[in-house]
Amino acid sequence: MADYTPPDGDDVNFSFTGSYSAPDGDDVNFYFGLVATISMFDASRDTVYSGSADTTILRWRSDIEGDYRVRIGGTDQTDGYLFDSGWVPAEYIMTHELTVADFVAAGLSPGAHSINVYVLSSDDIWSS
Amino acid sequence: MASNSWNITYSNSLPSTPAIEVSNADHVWLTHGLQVEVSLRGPDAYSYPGSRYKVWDIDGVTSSGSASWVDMSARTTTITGTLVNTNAMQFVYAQFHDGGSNYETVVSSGIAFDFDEPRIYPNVIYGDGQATWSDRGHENATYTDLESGDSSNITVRFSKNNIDQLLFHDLDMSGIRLYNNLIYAAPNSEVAKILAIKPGNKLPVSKSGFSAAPYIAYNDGSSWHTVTDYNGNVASGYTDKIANVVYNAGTLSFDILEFSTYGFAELDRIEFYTGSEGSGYIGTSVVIKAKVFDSVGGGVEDAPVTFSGSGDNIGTLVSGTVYTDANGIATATLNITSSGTATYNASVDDLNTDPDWDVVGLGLPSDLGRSRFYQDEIYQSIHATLASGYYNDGVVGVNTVAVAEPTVTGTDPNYLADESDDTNTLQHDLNVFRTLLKQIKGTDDWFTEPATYFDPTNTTSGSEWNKEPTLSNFSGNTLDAHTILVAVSTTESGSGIAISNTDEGFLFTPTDSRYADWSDRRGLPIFQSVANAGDFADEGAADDVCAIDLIDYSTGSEFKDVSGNVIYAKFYDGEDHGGTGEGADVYVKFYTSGGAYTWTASDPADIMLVYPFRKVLSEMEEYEWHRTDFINGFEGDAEIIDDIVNLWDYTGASNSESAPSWTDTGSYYIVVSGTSQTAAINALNTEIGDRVYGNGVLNFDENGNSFEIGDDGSVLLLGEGDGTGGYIIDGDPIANSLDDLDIAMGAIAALLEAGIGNKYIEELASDITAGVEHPLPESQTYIPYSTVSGQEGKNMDVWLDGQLLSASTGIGGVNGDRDYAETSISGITFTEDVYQYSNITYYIRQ
Repeated sequence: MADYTPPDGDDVNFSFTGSYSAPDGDDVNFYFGLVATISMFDASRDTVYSGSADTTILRWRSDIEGDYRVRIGGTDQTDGYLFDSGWVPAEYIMTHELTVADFVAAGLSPGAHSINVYVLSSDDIWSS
Repeated sequence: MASNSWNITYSNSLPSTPAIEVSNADHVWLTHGLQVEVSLRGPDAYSYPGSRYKVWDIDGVTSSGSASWVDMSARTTTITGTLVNTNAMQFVYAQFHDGGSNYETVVSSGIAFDFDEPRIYPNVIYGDGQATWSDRGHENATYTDLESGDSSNITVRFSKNNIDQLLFHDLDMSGIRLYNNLIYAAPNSEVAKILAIKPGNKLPVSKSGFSAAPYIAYNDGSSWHTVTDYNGNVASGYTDKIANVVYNAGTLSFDILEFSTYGFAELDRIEFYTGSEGSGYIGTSVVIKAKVFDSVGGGVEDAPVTFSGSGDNIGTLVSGTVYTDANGIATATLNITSSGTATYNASVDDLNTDPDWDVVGLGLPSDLGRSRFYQDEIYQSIHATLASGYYNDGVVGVNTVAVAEPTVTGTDPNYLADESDDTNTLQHDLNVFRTLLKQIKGTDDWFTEPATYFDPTNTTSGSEWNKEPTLSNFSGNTLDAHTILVAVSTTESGSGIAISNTDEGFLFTPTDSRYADWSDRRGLPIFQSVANAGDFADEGAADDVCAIDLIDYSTGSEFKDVSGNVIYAKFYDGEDHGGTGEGADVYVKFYTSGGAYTWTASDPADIMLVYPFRKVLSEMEEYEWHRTDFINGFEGDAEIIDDIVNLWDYTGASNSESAPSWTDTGSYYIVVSGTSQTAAINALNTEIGDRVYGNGVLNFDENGNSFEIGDDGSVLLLGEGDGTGGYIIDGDPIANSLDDLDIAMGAIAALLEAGIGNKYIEELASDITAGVEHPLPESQTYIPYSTVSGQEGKNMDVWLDGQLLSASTGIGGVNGDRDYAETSISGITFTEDVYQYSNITYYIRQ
């Protein structure tokens, strides 16, 4: 993971959840890296139906440029059905049309499915 | 589940409820224009066909009553319609009728039309024939063309078919500018980034008006590169820049894959490249190179270059036509077969090299290797000499190769550009010499005359410096050109060197036992050698060189024989006198002015040496003195001075003091100022006298005590009836004797005081009863005495009314046999009553 040096005059705020006790004699190293912040717009439809109204429009944008992956299902950027991928400019609104056919192509059964967006930063960190 | 996600439900079965949706819009966004698709879904309970619908607030229908019924062949259907052009939120309504008595009314989600037109650069115009974005259908437009605003005839197409994620709404296309036959596209512009979203995204470009197929040039921000080859194909290494290059009837089209500035070029010139060789031997090959340039300076790849020769026929080209490489360079190989000079031309299309390239064919000498070596040397020398003009007289620095490098002005096109190492050149060597001259002369440059220096044998009344600092003038005048005999002293570890009667010399091991010889004059000057006669440089030399000073170790000074001649010594070869000789030891031979000398009993038993040792001046240490500075010289004087100073410290004298000043402020002082030390001491002896006591005359005073009168008439001693003296001891120090006297006189004083006593008279105020102790008046005390019979009460007399009383015997007068008893130190006890008004007189001695 790359080193992170805050710009002059900037503070670095730490936010902890839970607690962690390092083993005796061990140090705890904090690593900083650039991670994309992704803004999601509401989907035009929450439900698509076979035979009618089968398209929903998905829009999102990232605050930094980088490679992106849009996956149906899965737990991270390597898991799930790869719906789309490419490179996204910073602050550019990306648009995808998701249809019933995409769910069928992904081999998914009818039901609720998550559509996940991941962006890779210049520090080689995928957003989660 | 990732946080950056949507939850979308995919369903195979439609809900039973009716619905109406604007299907190609977001919830609130509508950028595709006012024409929209509307999806209708009737109630599940209705029959299809058999049911119908109507819609309003679309296509100009503003109410349910004005809407027309449309039969439904299936439960779902999609229609198109046009919304009202307003910024307000719009809703589309639908009503379904089962053909009987059932009606269901639904409304769509709110929709707002919002389309911001894209921005383009001022000198760029739209070239798709559409007047407005409304004509293009707003976001429904598939593409738009941009054209150059001038006569460049350049068209660039932005198409959603070619660029994934391309949306025209609010698109900034100002990053691309088309004018002056250039396509300038800012690498960091928004459209450049959109082009980079997906591999395969492209921007088709076309330009018309060419008379011949042009080359496409690409500028990376610093220089131009030609990205198509001679045949119009994408050149090597640039397939990521452009693609699909097609030239047809004066129009060039291609796809831009990466944003930068693109231009167009044409074949411009062909030149011989500097890497071409200019000569070769028969039987060898030389390489000649020509580069094809386009009009923006880039090298044209895959251009057919034809080489042809004229002049002497010195060989054959391997191939007459050679195609240029990726850098636009065509390389031909010429096999040299004859001597002579040929001129070669290179051409492409109708372009020719100018100037052409001369190649010299060289005949083979009998000794090929040696000849090539010398000819190469000549070649190098010629170039080096010609190139010397490119070096200036500045010298960067000294002492290292790097700083001795010449400062080069300009570039020698015939030499330096082709050589990687220019340190093997004549001009480099010359500059190194210049550097050395500057360094040797110590001047600011290599040619300025150095300063002269002062020569006392060649000057003027103004002390002019006339002598030049040449090596000839320095020769013989440096420190290492001269020797010096330094003095080395030795005391043999501080104990002196023991010499015995009849000794003629002794074998000595010096610290440095080198002998001065003819090849190295440094070392001990050897006066005589038998075993190695003639080997040493100082054999038979004068005493100035060879004399060794001998010093009496006990006195630190030179000494003489009985005839008054100074005894000294000379070095003889140790090998002749039982030693090893050079490198180990040396023999010290005794001498006087009369010649070799034999030690006598009257000569010192222990001596030290100060001997000569020759060194060169450059090796002389700063603490080494010239040997003649020592004996009877500086060192001797210094020793004497030290002695004198010690005497001054000892006697209290000082420089030039001949009449010492004593403390004699009164005539009673024994020693008066100006008296010599001897006279002063004699006076002290006389005045203080000897210390033999007890020879005075015994006398007695009126009390019978004895005293003695000294020889000088003084009273020396008083004893308690003794008179024999002995209070001071013969030979005692005067201070002790005076102390003895003081003690004796103290005893005398005590005796005298005891003999005198004090008198006290008491008149009794009351009676004294016998046997009762009566205190002495005024609290006086005395020492009761009863030790010697007959002397009881001798320390105090007691008188009663003028009659002397007698003290009783025994300690404390215990016997009570006389007038009173000395019962305590402060009182007496009468043996009879004493009456009031009686007078008692006490005479207390002690």
